[in-house]
Amino acid sequence: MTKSVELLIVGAGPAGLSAAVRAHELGMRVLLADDQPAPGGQIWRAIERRATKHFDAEDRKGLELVRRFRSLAIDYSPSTEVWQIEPGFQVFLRSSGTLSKVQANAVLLACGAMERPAPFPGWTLPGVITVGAGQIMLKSANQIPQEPVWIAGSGPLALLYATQLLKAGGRIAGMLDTTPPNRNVWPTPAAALSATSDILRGLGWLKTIRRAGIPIFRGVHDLRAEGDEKLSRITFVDADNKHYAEDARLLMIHEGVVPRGHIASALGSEMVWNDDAASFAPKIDAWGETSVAGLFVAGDGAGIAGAAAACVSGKVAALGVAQMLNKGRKEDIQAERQRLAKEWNRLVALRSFLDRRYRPASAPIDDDMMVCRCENVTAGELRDAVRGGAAGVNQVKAYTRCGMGPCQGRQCGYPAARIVSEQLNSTVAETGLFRVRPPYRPITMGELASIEDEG
Amino acid sequence: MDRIETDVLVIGGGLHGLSAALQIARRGKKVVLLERAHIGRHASGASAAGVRTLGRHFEDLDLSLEAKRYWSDMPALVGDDCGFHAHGQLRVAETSAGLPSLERRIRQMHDLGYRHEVLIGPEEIARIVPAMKREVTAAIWVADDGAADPHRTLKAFFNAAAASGVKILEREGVQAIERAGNDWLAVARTVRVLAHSIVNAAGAWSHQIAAMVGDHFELGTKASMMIVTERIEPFVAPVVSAVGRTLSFKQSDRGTLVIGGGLQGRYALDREWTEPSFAVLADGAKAACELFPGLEQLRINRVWSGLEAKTPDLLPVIDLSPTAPDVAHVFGFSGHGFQLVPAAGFAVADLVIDGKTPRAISGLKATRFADQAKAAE
Amino acid sequence: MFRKLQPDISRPVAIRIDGVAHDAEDGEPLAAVFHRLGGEVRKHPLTDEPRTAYCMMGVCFECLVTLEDGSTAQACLTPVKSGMSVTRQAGMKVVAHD
Repeated sequence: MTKSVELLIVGAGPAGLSAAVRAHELGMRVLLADDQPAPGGQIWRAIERRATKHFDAEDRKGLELVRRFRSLAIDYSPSTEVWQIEPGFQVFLRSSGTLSKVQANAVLLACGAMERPAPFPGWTLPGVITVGAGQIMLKSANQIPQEPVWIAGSGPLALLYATQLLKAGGRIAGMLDTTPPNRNVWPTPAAALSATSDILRGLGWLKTIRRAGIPIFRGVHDLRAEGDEKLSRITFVDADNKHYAEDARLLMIHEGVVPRGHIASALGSEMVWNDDAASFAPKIDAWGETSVAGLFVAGDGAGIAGAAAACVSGKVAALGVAQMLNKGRKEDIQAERQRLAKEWNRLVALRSFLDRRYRPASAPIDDDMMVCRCENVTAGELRDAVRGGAAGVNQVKAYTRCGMGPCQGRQCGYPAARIVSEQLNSTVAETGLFRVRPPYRPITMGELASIEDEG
Repeated sequence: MDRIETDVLVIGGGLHGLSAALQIARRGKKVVLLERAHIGRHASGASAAGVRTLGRHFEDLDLSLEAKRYWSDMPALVGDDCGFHAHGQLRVAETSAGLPSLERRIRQMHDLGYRHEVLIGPEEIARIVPAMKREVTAAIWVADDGAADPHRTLKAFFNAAAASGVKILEREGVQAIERAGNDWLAVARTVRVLAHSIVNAAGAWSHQIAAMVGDHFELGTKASMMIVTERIEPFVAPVVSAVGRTLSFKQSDRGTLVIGGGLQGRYALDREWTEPSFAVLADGAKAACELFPGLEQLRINRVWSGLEAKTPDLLPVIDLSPTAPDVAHVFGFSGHGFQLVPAAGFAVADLVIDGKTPRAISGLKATRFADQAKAAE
Repeated sequence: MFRKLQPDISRPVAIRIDGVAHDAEDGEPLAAVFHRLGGEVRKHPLTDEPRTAYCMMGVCFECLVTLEDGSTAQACLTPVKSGMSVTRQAGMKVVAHD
């Protein structure tokens, strides 16, 4: 017997939790599925397990929302992967090696964001991880690097982690800012005014790092990680063309975040290129609905805007579904959406500035650089495929196997698109990302064989 | 709009279009090939690339045996071996219930003078496919059938055709075809092509192209699905199918298991769109796990489905148009087209240039559906 | 390469990796344990190169381990549980047959 719900939400981060709570309040039958063992997404990872004495205001808001979610006893399926969604919607789930199916009138994708894949020579060595991975370990495992860590990249998250690490007693060998020098981008006065607290916070992080005497290198490029079996040294060049070679045991990299649009794309949602943010996101209307009827997206998965904005867009999506299913009073829903829209505008005022300020550098990619970690495909092989007649990313995928491994193009999609589009004298906006096919997450032969045909 | 004048226009950038274009160009004609999306976008790019004479219908068997000779020396034909490995094809009867159909087939083959299919027993099967469960009854075996790499094959035919002077234009879907004196004028997205002859190799959309020159065909569509697992150590050498199961099972030369055989997904022809049906795929997975114990923990990384044409008798049409002058049809391979590619190209070149061919396509006529309908009345 | 903030694990449980016992914290991501042990999680099936848990959030699929029931899991999405036993992956899977 297939379970039936009115709204299935994928992702238990700020947007998913907010949507679940609001939808439940509006009387909808909701199921929230998430691949983590506990709610909170990435930003509030392990929030129920962490010692609250270190919490800041954002953490406290997160814990409050998680507790409210728990108290409402909303149907919640942790450690659950969504691996296929068929029209109707028939949502295929996988949890502890068991497959199940849920019928949902509407689906809300609140899958959040992921680090922008940023390949560089040696990036597959143990000892090289993302800043996000460092943050997750701090939150979910209460652990920090043993030896001084190098932090490379661009964007506020790298600064934030650096301050968190210092506060926890960790040591930083150096900050390598890869933001292209002379980035003359300034926020509009209106944006700056409404986002003053964010700006002040950012400046505060920089001050903390400088005060700790940590070397900061600017305009860093040609970063290489070297080592035999694991990282032992890094080399890089700064804005003044000075070359460095430094001992290193751990390097954390961060080049911004991009929306996780994998499932939306697979379902045929129209994807839009945001040039400021140099990334694709599903096209949504004022209610968060995509070009696929009944499919909604909220949170960073619809466009990077942070946790507070994600909560707002989660609520808006819940209202959108309510409207679709004729729940609640139309006038009330419209009025609430307008209030939320105002709050949204205030929260995202700085977005465009931050996006453009921290737009990733387009450093040249050597032929021998590994682009596809799963199938070991280099940039040179991708270029050869294009030269041999492959006219787009999907053909390149067919010829080289790039994007055919377990991650199904999540880690190599953007770099591959960039390399292919450059080779074709085109743009990533034109080239697009790999066509996504199910299963969105691997399932086993035995699990598939066990699916009963319910007609 | 650019206007191109040529001798022969080939419509469709799949393997059959490329093969025909190649052979026509090699016989000295100017050829333009128009492809609506990109080379190998549909059936050819989604093929399991089985190189199979085993189990063929009599009507395309001789053409298939001719194609087999080319497959054994693809470098001579297109400058690349296309990843072809002759590890054999096997069709197994798991229980005695499946034996009569195998025996009947062997008798028919031998009566007609064919010896390439042989009947083998459990010991021989265990030697050839040690990974298969031991409880099987018999199998038909063709030792020098095998499988190739579909994308290497596409690349090889594309390169050979281009090297022979074929002008290949992608993103040029043909929207209309008109008569222009003794020639044909095809209107595509940004170009118009004036050609004396046309080859219709438009795959699942061949009936639409045929209609533009006045031919009517009832063409069905197949959206065959395939499961691709993670890579594993060498596990099975031949391509395996089983009586009574929709299953074709092989290991690619990258190590992935490719499990197909005609499991049908969902499709929308006008949108060039297919989608897998996991309820149907479950049957394929079950069949594979029953036939090959130990597969349960293998991870499935992806699943795909490709669009191809289906004719009422599952045999292709390789024939001149019954009504339109200087038009040749090569379509409707119904899931069995890959192996025929090298030979079909020669047959089409013969038809286009000589108006006839000595090759074995007499059972693949365009008019046979009308004939069959008449005979049925 | 990584260390806990507190010298002792607050709720230690025993787990096994390749048969060797390790202390871990109940509920932490299994991948975090590997980061305390030097970082390497598996050998890449194609090249035999060592790989680590790169993203810690289920996107990169580098942190694959084999669970006790023979299934493959991403260590970053697998919470530590007392008594769990996992083995590292190296090389391509072998499907055993007689």
